Amino acid sequence: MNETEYLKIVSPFKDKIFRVAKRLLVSTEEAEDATQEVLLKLWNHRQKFKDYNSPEAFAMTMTKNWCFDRIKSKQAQNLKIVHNNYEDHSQSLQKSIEVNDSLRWVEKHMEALPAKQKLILQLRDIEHYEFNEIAKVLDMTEATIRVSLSRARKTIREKLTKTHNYGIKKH
Amino acid sequence: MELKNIESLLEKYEEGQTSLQEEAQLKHYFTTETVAPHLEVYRSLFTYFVSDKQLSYQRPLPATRHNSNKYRWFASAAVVTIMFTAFMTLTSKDEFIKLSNEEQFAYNETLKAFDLISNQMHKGATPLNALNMISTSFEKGQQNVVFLEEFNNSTNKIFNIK
Repeated sequence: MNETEYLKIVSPFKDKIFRVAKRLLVSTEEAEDATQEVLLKLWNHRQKFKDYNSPEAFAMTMTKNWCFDRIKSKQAQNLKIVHNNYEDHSQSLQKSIEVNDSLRWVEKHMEALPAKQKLILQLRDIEHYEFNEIAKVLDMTEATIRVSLSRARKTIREKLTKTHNYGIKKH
Repeated sequence: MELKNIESLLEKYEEGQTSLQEEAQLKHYFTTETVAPHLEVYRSLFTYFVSDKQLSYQRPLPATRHNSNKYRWFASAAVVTIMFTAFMTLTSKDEFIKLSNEEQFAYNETLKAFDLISNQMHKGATPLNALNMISTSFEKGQQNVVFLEEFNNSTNKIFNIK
């Protein structure tokens, strides 16, 4: 496989890798590092691409494993990474004004979910994966995925209702 | 879309039983149409899902090492040239020993003459520019014709021998 073929295969889902990594690792920098790592691994394994019927699922599994390893090693070091996104502020300032405050609440509530639920929600509601695809990536049954997806969706909705009604209705 | 329809879809959605198509319907509804007040929460949820998908990876893709072979060729070519020059200089030293006394003498004399000339060149060297330097040292060289003659003598010796 040459470079153009590789790019043709990888380009459609490189952003997905990045978003999934960002969902799990929170920091943009770390997510970019993770994506770079995964893409490099894919390049090194490009000869085996033909053996996989879905390179994308393969890439997703890789991303998931890499991110979970990162999270684990962070916990093992007892190093609490505070999710600072050192972004270009001139741009993010503009964005933060544009983006509704409630969207940031969604992000916060999603961040608070357990890693597996986070990942499932990301793959389903943002990346639009079918259940059997998610099952392949996570190595879980479709039924378990539906259960934790439902749990994640409910948790977020409940939390959002709370923040939404805060100061308006009595709890 | 009818409100009742949406509400039942949302129920299904929270149970994790909606298909991708149905979820797309929900997204479409909550991002485009006016939303009933009690469903306002879902609007931010689905708007977030849609907006988050715009995030993209900005760094260049890592497959740029296709020209590494070219560099490998350059490297091997460089190694060959270095080896070759090293070989040449080493063997030429051996040749010097093989020369007769006269030849060695002539060689050394030439070297001396070169040295002298280069000394004169250095004296004439100014930080101005290379052309100036050469012209001035030539002028000085004219004054010290003796040195040039010496150079001539030793070159003649070489030619006479050969």
